[in-house]
Amino acid sequence: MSLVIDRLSKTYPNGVRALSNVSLTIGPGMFGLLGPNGAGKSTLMRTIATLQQPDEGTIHLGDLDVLAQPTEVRKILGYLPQEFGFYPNLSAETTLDHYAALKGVMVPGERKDLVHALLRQTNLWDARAKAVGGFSGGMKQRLGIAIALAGRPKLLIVDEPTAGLDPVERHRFLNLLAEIGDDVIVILSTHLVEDVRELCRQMAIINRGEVILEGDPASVLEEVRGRIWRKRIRKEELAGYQQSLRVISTRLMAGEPIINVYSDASPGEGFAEVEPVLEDVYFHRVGGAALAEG
Amino acid sequence: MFLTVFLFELRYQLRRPVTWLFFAVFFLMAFFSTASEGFIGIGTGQIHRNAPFVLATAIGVLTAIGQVITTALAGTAVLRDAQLGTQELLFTTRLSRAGYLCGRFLGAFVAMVIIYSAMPLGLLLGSLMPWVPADKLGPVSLWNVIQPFLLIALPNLLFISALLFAVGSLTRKLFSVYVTGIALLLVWQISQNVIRNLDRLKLGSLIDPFGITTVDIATRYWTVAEKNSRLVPLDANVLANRGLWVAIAIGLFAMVYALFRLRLQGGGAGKRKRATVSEPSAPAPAPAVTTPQFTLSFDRPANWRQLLSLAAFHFRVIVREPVFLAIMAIGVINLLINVWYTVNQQDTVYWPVTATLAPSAVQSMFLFMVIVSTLYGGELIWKERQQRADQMHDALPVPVWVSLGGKCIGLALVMLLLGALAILATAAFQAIMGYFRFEPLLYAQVYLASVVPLVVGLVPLTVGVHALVNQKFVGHLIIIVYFVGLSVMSNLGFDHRLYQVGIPSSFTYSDMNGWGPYVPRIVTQQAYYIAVSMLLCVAGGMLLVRGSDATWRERRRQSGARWAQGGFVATAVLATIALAFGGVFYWNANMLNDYSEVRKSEKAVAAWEREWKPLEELPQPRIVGTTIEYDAYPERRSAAWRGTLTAVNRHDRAIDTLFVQLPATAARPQNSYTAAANTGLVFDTLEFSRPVSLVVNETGEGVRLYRLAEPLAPGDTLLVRFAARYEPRGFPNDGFANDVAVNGTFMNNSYMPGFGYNPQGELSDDDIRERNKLAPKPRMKSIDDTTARRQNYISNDTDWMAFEATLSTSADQIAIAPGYLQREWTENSRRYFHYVMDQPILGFYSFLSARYAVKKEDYKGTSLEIYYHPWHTFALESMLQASKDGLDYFGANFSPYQYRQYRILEFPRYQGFAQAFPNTIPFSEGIGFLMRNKGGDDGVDRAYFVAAHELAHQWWAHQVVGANAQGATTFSEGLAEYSALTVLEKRYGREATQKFLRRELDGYLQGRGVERKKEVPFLYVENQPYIHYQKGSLVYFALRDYIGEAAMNQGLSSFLKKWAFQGPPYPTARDLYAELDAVTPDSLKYVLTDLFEEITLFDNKAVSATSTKRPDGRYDVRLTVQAKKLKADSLGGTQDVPMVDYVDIGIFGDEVKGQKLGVPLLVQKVKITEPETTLDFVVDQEPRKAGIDPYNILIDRTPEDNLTAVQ
Repeated sequence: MSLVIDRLSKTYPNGVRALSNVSLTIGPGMFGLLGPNGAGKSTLMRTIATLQQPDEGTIHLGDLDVLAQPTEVRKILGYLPQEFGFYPNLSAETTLDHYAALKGVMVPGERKDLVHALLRQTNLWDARAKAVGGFSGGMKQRLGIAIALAGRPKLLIVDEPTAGLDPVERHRFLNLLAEIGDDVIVILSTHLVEDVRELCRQMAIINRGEVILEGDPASVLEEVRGRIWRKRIRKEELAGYQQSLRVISTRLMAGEPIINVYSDASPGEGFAEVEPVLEDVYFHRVGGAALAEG
Repeated sequence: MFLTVFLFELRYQLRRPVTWLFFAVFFLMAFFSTASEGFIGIGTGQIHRNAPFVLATAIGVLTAIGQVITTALAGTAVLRDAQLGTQELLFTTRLSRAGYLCGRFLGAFVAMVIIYSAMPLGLLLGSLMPWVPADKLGPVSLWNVIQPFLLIALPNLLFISALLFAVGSLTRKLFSVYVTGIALLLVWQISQNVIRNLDRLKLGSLIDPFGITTVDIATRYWTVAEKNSRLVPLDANVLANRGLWVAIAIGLFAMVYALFRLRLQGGGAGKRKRATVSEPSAPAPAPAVTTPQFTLSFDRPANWRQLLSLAAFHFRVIVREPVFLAIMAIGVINLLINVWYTVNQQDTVYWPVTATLAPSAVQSMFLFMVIVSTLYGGELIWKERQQRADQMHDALPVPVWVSLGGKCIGLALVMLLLGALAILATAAFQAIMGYFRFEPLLYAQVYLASVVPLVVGLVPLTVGVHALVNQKFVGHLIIIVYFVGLSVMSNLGFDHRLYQVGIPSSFTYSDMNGWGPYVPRIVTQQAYYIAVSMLLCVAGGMLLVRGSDATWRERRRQSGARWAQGGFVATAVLATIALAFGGVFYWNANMLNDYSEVRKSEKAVAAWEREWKPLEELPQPRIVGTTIEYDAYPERRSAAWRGTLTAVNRHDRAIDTLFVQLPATAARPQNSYTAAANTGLVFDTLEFSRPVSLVVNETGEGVRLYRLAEPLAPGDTLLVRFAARYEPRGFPNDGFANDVAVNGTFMNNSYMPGFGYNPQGELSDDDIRERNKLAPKPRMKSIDDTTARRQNYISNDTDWMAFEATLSTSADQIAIAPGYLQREWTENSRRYFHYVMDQPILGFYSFLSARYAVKKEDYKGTSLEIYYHPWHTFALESMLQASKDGLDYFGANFSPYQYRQYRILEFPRYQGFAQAFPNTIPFSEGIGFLMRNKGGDDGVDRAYFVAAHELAHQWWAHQVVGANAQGATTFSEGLAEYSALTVLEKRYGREATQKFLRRELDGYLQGRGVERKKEVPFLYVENQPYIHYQKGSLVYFALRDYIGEAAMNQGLSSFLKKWAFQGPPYPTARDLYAELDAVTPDSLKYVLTDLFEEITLFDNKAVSATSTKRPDGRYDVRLTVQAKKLKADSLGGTQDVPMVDYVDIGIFGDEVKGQKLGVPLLVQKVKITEPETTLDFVVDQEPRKAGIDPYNILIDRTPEDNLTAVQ
């Protein structure tokens, strides 16, 4: 079963074009949706999660027409929104039990077992009786994923789950995702390239509502292999380089900029070819789009 | 800094559409307060719509109600930053605490002032509307709306803003802000209850945060003229109240300032931070967990189980919130106050029987339940969005009906729990009061009949509105406007229950008659309401926002699928139920029972008057004898009666046309907002002993005109035979004709045919007459109109007549009519009673039947009998004692008792009076039988008093009856009141009488302030209860005080001697006055004039009193008093008159337990001629208090300042 998104478009009443002709085909396994803030990721995720209607386009999950059969989709959906909260006074166990029941786990004994298993799986077992109002961000995210997983989803959507987590928490969370079975379509939206690099077999980059790249991380790298050059420069030189070359990223090391430049051939002295990472693809594409428009 | 914050806050508030919505709502409420008479209903009768008193009250009431709507405004001023997450940004700026708090507070406060300034605007414009009749308007003055706004509204707003601001900043929860708003209403209610005790007027005036009770007290004894002209005065009480609440407001703000820190929650004032949960920092690898097997179910049964589990979930969440405890406490306190005052009425304490407590408890919860349902309805609809759990929720495989239904059921369970707690608290109250006759079954029935349908009807209504409106404030507003609108509509006479969804079905539970006929109506009405409000809820469900797109387009789009997935079925089923029960209700109310809006029925009465009034003077025969066979069929709530009336032509010319007035069956106004029809009444036959032909037969109006084939010559006799029956059909829209009951039938002579046009059926209120284009009519004929003396005021076709009745009823009941029992027998398993009266009586008789227990006692040849509901034994001794004391005193001092028996008969509480028929007193179970106190220090023994009052009527009405003119009740009601008070005093002493008179004074002074037409001197009383009862006892008591008991009795007994059993012509109050005049010494004639012929008031005051001990051990007392005498006109305008009056001066010594005054050391009448007089006395013991008119013999609007402590 795969998720087929076909020419999806959405413009908000305030004129923001959130999705523009988006088409994607997503098979089982982890799919990374990469894009900067405001790229339209959440709109896409919400649309897939039956919470929003596009202006145009279709989404199919296997035989299901997602837009027309939301009820059927919700039966096999797990959704962890970017922003969410819980009843602060309830314990993790009660919260999870509540959601499990709403997800259709109606046999009390089975539900109890499931809740316990999920609590263990998400490392919340020790905190299960605690009020969730006191949970840290990571614990909340794990409880959220436990809820998302409770209904044995075939389609799992996690929207920016690692935003705001510290590295420890982030790893804990990604480890959890990694455990999810291969037969589940998992869509992970993130603006962190590492998330995708570490987890995903398929990915797409979305910017300004448009899909600007789609593929598996390995072949995506091929696109820029041999074309990424790096140089350590002085601060005052930066403006010059940015004018003359396609600087796709700049970062500082000990106060001095290191620039990555996209170029078919060596852009000049002091530049060394580097083995591309996903980030380069991302910056190349996202930055490229920005340049193209600008 | 402050200015920035202030302007920012103000701009924010003023830019919100909801602010202007509030403004519009307040404007409209204020506008209709003066533009329409039904809205707040105090500018009625002679009181102008824009009387300053009306404006002040309106402003008070509107702020009290309004603050529930605008709670969020001030409460959120500090909450908003926490909600929007902007506090981190703000609190780290250079902003100072003072700048922040003052700016926010004043910004919100000024916004409130702007919103509420719609009130004076609306009040002013409303009074200028062209349709407001000119005679209902006083001078239009800007200051009249500004002054109350400054005096009432501004301090209110300051206090409300400060309180809500404090609650908001301390709890940081919007919901607790709302709850505070309700709690404030409760304080107002408490203050209203507190002032039922006349000793606590000051306290009540002080503790009302809205100042409404304060205005009540400040204007309590204002006459119509004063209400129309005076602004609320800045007297001590008003200033104390306003000062107190402004001080509290400042205190609250200071407290917030002291506790508030520009920090995040946790650092906030007094807020306990939730324990954070910490974990080891190293990432543990996710343990390999085998996912257990489980089944997923999405079918209908699973949905239903989810519904229940959601209901349980919401229930648990709500009841665990701390704020729920506050709500519960508010509910229970509110209820306890109400039940407390149900059993402590005025100076009389009643037993807390379940039949009175349970309905009172439930009734007191109505408004509370509406508010709880509205608030929680809004909370629940917005819960997920507030918790930011909405996206997660909306993507769950749960249909909308499950999540919405779960919320409704959860909330309903919470409210049912509140209802159950109310019942338990009521039962606990009974136990605490030492009453242990619990009636669990009755409680359960009241719960089922009242609480359950109320809750099940309210919850879907409020949740549905919130789901539809999808704007929390607007939702609250709509629900409040809806309920206010319903009550306004019913004030205006639009009272059909079919459009009053959400108002509980009314009923009266009686110990005697149980649920009576109410159950079918309760079931039908409530089922209809529930179905309608569930329909609304289904509509809410159809359009409930799901997902992140809340536009109407998207909501409509989604509703399509929901409609197909059960919405249609639910709508169809509920609509069918609503139509079915609504149809049954309509059939009962409109077809079987001829529903009519009151204004329509007024028109019919006006038409009747216009058509038949011209025949008022048509000579008619007088009834001289009545023989009736009356068969009660209690189990069917029906009765049949046949009778023969013997009528004689007493005129000096022949009668050719008979004007027969039967009881009307068409709808008749019951009060200014409801009408009722007597559709179950049928006259089967009406025959005459002489040939007649029917000329007119208007069945609805009950008018029949017959032409006698041969005119009835003077002195000739005509027999009228009739047969009628009463068979109730279904149930009416409102009210029930409960005269025939399963247990407790009480039917009087108004069900019998009568002769002649009876002007008592006319519309009497001048406003109502005017809108029906009838000229104003005098309430009664002039005391000097000699034609009035042809009739007594009890009946218009009888003088003194013979009476005989044979009654039958079911085997387990006793049936009673006036007269002496001749024979009792059983036939066809029915009981028969034959009563004959051995002397002529007035045309005023009744038939009663119930399952009675009987207490009989022979007292000096008079059989004293009480027929009562078997366990209502509490007050029997009081009633018997009153009967004995009255028989002794009245018999010895007035004239002999004309009967050999005196019977008191209990009847169900559908009416709350006792009424004196010849030797027969039907006495409502609601007014004396459940009395608890024993009189004296304990309070007023009301059962004793009422029994004595009704006994006194055997003299004052049944021996001497007044002409149908002004002053008729000067002696019937006035002297009955006086006679009863006299025996009460003999039995319980001066102090009990004092308590009673204080209450009478209060009643009289308040009564004149709500006079709709004109106040008249006592001699000319036009059946005005506040005059003939309340002023009556004061007048006669004062007269007795002046001329002495012996002279008084001499006057009364010679009046009886001259006029007993006389008429026509009947005596008027002038005839009584002549007898009293004869026994009054010349020096006191002025007292008679003051009391009877003019409206006289005094303003007496003790200024100072000092005492010094003399060498002989006695005390010199120097007392300075002020005295003023005033005469009032018919609207209460007063004029000072010179004073040459004898007034009591009293000096009192050591306190006596339970008494206010202490041991009287000196009480003597002193002639007062100066506005201020200083007097010297010598007394034997140490004086404590001294003053003028210590026993409040004179009518004085500030009776409490008559005494002062002796220095």
